[in-house]
Amino acid sequence: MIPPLDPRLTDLFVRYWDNTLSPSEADDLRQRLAADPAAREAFQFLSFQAVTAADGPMAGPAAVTASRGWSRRRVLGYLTGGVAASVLATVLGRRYWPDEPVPMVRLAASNGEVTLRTPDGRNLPADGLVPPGGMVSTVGPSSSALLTYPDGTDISLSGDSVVMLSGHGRKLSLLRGTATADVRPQTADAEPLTLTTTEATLTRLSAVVLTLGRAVQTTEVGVQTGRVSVADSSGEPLEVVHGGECLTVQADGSHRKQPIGPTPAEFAWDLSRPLPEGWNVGRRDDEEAGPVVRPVLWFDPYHKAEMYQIRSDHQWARGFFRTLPDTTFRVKYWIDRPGPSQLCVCVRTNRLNCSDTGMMECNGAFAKARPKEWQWLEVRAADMLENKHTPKFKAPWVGFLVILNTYKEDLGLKIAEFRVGAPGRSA
Amino acid sequence: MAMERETIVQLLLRERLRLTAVASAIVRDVHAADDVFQQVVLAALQAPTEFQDPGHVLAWSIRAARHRAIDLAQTRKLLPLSEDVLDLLEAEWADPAPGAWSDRAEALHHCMGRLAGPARELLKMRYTDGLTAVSIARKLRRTADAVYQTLSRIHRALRDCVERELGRVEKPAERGVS
Repeated sequence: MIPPLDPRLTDLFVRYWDNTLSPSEADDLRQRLAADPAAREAFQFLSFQAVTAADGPMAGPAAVTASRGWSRRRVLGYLTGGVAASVLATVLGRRYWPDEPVPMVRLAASNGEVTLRTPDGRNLPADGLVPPGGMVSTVGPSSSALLTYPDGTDISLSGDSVVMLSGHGRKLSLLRGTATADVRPQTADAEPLTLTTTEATLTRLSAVVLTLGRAVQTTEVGVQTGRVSVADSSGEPLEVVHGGECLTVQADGSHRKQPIGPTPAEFAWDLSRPLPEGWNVGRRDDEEAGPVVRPVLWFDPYHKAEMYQIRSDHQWARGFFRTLPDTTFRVKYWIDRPGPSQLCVCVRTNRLNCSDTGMMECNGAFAKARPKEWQWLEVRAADMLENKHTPKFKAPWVGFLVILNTYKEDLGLKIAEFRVGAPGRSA
Repeated sequence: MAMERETIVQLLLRERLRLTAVASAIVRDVHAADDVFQQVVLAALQAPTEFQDPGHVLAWSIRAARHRAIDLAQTRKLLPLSEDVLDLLEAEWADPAPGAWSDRAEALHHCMGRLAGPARELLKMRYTDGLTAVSIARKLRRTADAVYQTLSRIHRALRDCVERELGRVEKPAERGVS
C-alpha cells in the first residue's frame, strides 16, 4: 500500500512549480527528495498530474474503444497529446494510414546541408517530390531549401530549420527555424494551405508574402504583402496581420503586433532588464558590477555537439540591426581563461521575402584576451566575412541572431555589453 | 542489432507522458515540456547513436529531455533542483516498467474526469493556461496562498483517487473528487 501524499510535499511542489520557494523551502524540498524514495515517487507523480491536467479533456480512455471513425489526429491526440500529435502524426506517416494523398510538393532547390526524410526515417535525395509526412531540414547558416507547389507557390527554408508536411503538403508544421512563403492567389475550391507552429496557426493562405520564424517558445509572423489570419494553437483567432506588420506569439498565447519598420543601424543589448522572451541560450546574472549574460551548455545542431554558447532571440522579420562593412561590433566581456571562441552574427538580405542567409564570424574572438579582467572586443563587419558561410549577397546585411561560442570548454565568459554601431561610436 | 527508426518513434510515442513529465518537473511549464519532447524525438531520429534496445532509447531520451529542460529552466531563471536530486529522480524515471505509467495515466484521467468543476478549472488555469498562483488569485479574487492550498489539496485528492482506482488502498464507496 502506498501512503497518501505528505501535505508538506504537495505545498512545496505547487510553490516549486511557481518558482516561489523561499531558500529554506527549497532546501526542505531538496532534503526530502534526496533522502526519501517515497518523496521522489510522489514528486514524479505530481509532475505527472500537471502534465495530464494540461493534456486535454479530462475523460477516461474508455471513449477510445467506444468511438468509431476517429480521425488520425484525434486518435493520436489521445495517445500523444495535441501539439505532439500534429508532429508525430507526420512522423508516423502513411505506413499506418495507407490512404494518404499523393505528393504534390517538390524540393526544387537546396544549398548546403539539406535533408529530406520519409516518415519512417529513410533519407531521400534532397531533390524531387516530398512524400506525405516527409520532413525537410536545413542545417547551418548558409543552408537553404526551396519547396514549390504546382500553383507556383514557393516556400523556402533557411538556416537551422525543420518543417514537416502532411496531406498533399498543404499543411506545413515548422518545428524550428525560418520559412518564407510566397503564396499565389488560391481559388475558392483549392485545398487550404496552412502553416503551423506550436504557438500559431496560419490558415487559408492566399496572395501573401510572409515569413514564419520559430525559436524557443516563440513564433514570429512577418507579412510583407497581403494579409493573414493567425490563430493560437487551439484555433482561437489572435490577429489579422497585414503587410508591413509583424506578430510575435508566445507559448502562453500572449502576442504583440507591431509595424516591421526599418531595421536600425545601431543596436545594444539591454541587460538591465530580463532577457527577451524567446532568448535561446544563455543565462542572465546580476553581479556586483552589473548584469551579465553567461554561456550555457547546449546541443548545437550545426556542430552536432554540446557547446557553451550564448544565442540571442531570433528576430527574422524585424531584424536587430543593419550592418555595412564599416559597422563595428563592440563587446564588453570577462573571461577566466582565453581559449577557442567566436562571435557570430546570422544575417539576411535587406529584403524580407528573400530567404538567403549568411554568417559573419569573428573566430578566436577571446583567444588572446587577458584573463579575469573586463575588456572590450571591437571588430568591423568587413573583418568578419572570411568564413565559409559568408553572405553571398551584398550589404546591407540584417542581423537576426547573435551567437557567442566557446565550444566545448567553459572558459568563464561573461558578457556585460553588446553593441553595434558606426565606427568609433558605441551605439 | 540497431533499432529501426520507426520502432524508436513508436516507443517515444508510448513514453510521451513520461518524458514530458520529466521535462516539466524541471522547466515547470507543460507546453515547454511538450516542446522538449518534440526536440527529443527529432534528436532521436537524427542521433548518431545506434540504439540497441528500448531501454537504451528510454535512458537516452530521459537524459536528453533532462538536459534540454535544464537549459530552458536556466534561461528562465528558475531555481533548479540540485544535480544529486536530479540524478536520483532520473534513475527512477528510467525504470523501464511501462505498465505502471500507463495504468496510472488511465486512472488519473478517470479521476480528473470526476473532479468538481471549480477544481478542474483551477487545474486548467494553472497547468493548461500556465497562470501563476498570483494571476489565478487575482482572477478569482482570492489570495495566492489560498490558491496554493487548494491546488495542494486537489493534488492529494487525485493521488488518493488514483490509488483507489488501482486498488492499492481500500476502496470506499464511489464518490467524486474535491
